Amino acid sequence: MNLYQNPSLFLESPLASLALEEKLAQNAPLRWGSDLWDLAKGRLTEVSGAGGGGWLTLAASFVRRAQSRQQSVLWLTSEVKPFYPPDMQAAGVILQRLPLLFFSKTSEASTVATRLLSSGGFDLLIWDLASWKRPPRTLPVPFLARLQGLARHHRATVLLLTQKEADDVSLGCLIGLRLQVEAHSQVPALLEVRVVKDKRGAVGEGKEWSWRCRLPDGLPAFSSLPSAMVVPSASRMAG
Amino acid sequence: MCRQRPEWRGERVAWLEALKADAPLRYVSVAAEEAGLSVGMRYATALGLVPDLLAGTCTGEELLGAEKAILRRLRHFTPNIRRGSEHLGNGLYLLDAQGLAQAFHGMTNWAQTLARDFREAGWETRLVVGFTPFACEMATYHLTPQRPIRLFRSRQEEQTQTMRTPLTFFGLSPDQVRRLQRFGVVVLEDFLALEAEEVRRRFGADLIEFYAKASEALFAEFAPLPEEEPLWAQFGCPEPLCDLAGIFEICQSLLRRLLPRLIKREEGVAVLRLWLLLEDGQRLEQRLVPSYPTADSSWVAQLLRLRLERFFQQRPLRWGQRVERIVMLVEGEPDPEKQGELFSEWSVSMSTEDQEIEVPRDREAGLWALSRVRAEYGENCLREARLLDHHLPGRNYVWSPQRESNAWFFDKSLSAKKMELSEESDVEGSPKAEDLRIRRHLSAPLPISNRDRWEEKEGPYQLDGGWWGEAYNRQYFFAREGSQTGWLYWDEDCECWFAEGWLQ
Repeated sequence: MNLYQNPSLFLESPLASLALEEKLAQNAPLRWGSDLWDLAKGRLTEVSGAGGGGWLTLAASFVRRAQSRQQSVLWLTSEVKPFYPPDMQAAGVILQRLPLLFFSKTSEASTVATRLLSSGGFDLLIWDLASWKRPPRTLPVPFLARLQGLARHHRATVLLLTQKEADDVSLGCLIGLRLQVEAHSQVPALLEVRVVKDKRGAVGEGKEWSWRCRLPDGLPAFSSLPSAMVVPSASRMAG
Repeated sequence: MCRQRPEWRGERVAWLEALKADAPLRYVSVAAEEAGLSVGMRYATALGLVPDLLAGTCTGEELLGAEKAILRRLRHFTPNIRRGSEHLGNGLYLLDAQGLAQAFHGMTNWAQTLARDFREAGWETRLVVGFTPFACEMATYHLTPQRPIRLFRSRQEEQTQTMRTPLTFFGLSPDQVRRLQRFGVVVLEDFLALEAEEVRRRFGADLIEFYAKASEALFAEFAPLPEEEPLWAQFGCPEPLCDLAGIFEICQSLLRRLLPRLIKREEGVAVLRLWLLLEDGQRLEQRLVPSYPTADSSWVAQLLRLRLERFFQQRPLRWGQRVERIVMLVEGEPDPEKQGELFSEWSVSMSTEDQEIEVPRDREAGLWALSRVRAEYGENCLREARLLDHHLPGRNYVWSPQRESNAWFFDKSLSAKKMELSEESDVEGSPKAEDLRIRRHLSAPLPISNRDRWEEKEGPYQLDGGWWGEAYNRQYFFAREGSQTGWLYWDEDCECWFAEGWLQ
């Protein structure tokens, strides 16, 4: 089944269409952006995914939202595999308002992250750990404690982007919220977000929802997919 | 360009505005001009005429650097320099040579010394010594590499010569020259003999502007460009130093000497350069750029301390490599704190959503923190993505080093209306609410040995070009492996598969 040439094949399969229609019928549209933003504020959020996961896309939507509210953003990355700037711009991010800090070592980035967060000048700090060649699987607890304390004190959002499977351990026990963002196994435009860990219990662990995105030029658009964010009513997020 | 590649001298060379096929030529060498090329012609057209044309370009920074070097050299020959105005071409300088005849044993000797000095430094010079800027400029265009110097003995001679200059030399369009020639107006004298009102009525506004300029400029005097006094200070250590505290102490004292002079000019430190001269003859250079020009000595000193601490951590001073001399140079710019309203926008921001008051952000502290990070980890750690006009991935953007900017915290250009629109765009269901899947881009494309595991490819998308320089010929594909969508290309030159990135 070549889904690139005929994406409707997936939607026409009885199981898939039934599931989507059922979700659409049951749920009112969810303003997931607002909800997620509030949930991530003031704590450490790890956004992870396997190789094809969409955590970079989720981070970009956070940046866009912050910029639209005149909030300050900072992005820490390495030169090895950073994001592709033309895509960022196409996603609505204003590149002129996105300062980037490049470091060759993650230890340097961790020192700088705490220092910058302690200034209280930033609303959103994104640390793209997956951009390093060999990123650490976990981070020291004292460092995470300091970072979490600063995020809570300044009501800042800290996103840590990592590449890992859902059943891998998170960066540390002080990660307040962990989201696993995976691309649909057949349709790359459809991302599936799952809450792996929620220490406040505001969302509830194991909750899932789908998220439809556009694709870069060169990949076919999936116009027949529902554009709404859908979640089952039982797992609807607060906010 | 010719200085960088001496083997290009005497060849057919063109300087392009950009390294593209449709870029216009900004300058052509004499040999290229003789072959039929002219300024303004497209590079592709020029290559059609002269297939062995040597072409290149240079960045704005390189041009600025070259201009600074020329100005420095010119200051050896005259204290008063006035660069050509915007109406004059690049590389044209007006020098005030009044009173220098005695020092150089005559103006001829002055001109010859100047031309020789520039020639030895690798520059090609044409020089006219005269009485009025306009006449000198016009006479410059008549000079050739074989006869690079022209000296007017009297104002009368200069005026006569200028008046006899054909109108084709004045940068008028061929159409304008043709229209004038129909009325028998061939040289400048004929043109200035016309009545201003007549010129306006018959030839329109574009020629009356030139008429006014020519008639006024013939007798115009020029004001000299004020010379910028370089702000530098140095300290020779009686005993070579190898401890950071001592070096920092000297740097602070040098800063204290320089800052009052800068404050007198109502300027702040925009760039601070520090050279440490070692015992073994080495010269270590550090360049520090504060977030914005400042005359706050404690701020600059703190940044300097951070930079030096970091630098000497990575490169400890050893016996035989101690610091003998410290030289500090400060480049000033108008101090924004004296201009006011730099920080007026740094106030509490408020979210309209749910009437929630956001936590006030200390923008100044944020800037200061960034400034400290940059001072410690080097100027290149803080960057901004800038898109370029190129269709090849990897060449269509650049990570450009930046210094901290207020715009990162508050964008004045975002009006209230735009803000409303962007708020609306987050509402789900609207087409604008769709996020785009972002690609991760490998800084160095990764060769793929096993292409078979990638399936369901989308493509090919052919990208080729650069035949005028670095040629490339690639076929791009999107291919899948499980849930991963890779962004691959087939390089037809080396016949290999590469991964450019993947969707993430």
